[in-house]
Amino acid sequence: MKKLFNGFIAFLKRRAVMTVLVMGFIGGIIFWGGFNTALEVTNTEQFCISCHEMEDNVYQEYRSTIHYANRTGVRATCPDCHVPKEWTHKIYRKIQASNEIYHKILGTINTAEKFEKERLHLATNEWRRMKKTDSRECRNCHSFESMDYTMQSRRASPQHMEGFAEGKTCIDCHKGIAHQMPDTSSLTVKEHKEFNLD
Amino acid sequence: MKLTLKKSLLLNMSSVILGLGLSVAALNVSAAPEEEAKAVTEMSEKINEVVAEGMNKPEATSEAVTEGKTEAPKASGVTSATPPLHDFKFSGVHSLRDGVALDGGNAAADIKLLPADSLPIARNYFQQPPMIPHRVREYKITVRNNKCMSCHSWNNYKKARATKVSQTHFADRDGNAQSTLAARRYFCNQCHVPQVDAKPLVGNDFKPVSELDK
Repeated sequence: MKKLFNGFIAFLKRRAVMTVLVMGFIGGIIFWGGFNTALEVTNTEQFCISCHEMEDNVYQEYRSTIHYANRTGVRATCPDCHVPKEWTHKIYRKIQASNEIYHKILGTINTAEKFEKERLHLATNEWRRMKKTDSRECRNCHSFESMDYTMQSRRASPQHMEGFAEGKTCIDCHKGIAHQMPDTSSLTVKEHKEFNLD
Repeated sequence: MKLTLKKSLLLNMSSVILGLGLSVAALNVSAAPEEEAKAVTEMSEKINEVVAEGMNKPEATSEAVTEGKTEAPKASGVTSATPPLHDFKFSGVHSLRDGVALDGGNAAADIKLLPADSLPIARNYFQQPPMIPHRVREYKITVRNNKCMSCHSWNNYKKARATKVSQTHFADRDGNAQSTLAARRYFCNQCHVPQVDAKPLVGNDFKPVSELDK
């Protein structure tokens, strides 16, 4: 055993091996750091609205909402709601987002009319994602546990308690809060039920 | 205070308009050209006088105008002590800027905050649309979707403990009942609005429906 260990040390002491290890270590830092930095750049509002599809449509709608401007000055930007915070979920979502680059190239929503046509489809995509994750991105800031019902308004307090008791998630009721609601009349009865629509 | 100012301004304006109308009438009436010119000058002097009087005591305006009408055609050698129209000092009349210099700014009025949710607001007069007793920020009524209906529709009102939208709102202008909100009733906040605790700008004598019994 000791012989094996000494042999390993002797192996490490060889110049070539040392060089490879040191270079690998430094290179790892550079590449990993670079990757993460690039990832973070794509996680900013500025990056999101660098495409006119986002800036002219969804961004303008969001600018009049409480998540953009409010009394306390806390702002939730695009990635706060649309990109998960935890690393694995984030990478998963980022890989999915490559589909968005594909459609950017295709020009699927490059005019206001095309966007309007896709609005319902895009909205249901997000509703589905939110439902599947129990509105995880909402809960990064708004959690059931920290809610004080006594501080809520006459309407909000009982509805929140009932909703939680029924196992509902944020998006079940809070739709169209950052972007305008689509016309949902073309959805099926089943979909109306799925999304808790009237 | 503001109201009385506006009223006096209105009266002044009306007297000016009346005066202008009279001068036009004088132009039509007078026959000879030289007489006409004379009459016009006299007339305008008279108008100035009348307007000045109206400025000081608005209630006398109509009287003064009638007098002017009877006198004006034969009034000769009447010299008016009042300055021409453009020299008048409109004391007591303020512009919307209210005496603030062009390069200055006046203090902004307080922002009225909408109160938090409350119980239904009592109606103040017969056929008043019910007021909205809650905040409606970000409740969008668009061509695609009407947020109000997520609580006030017939499907949802019970669960949301909301007032349901009236049956009358489903009829078009010809009285045909429809399954969805009639287009002319679609935009809720054309009639139904939230209330702030603000003093009415203009007084009124609207009475609640109970007054009808008396």
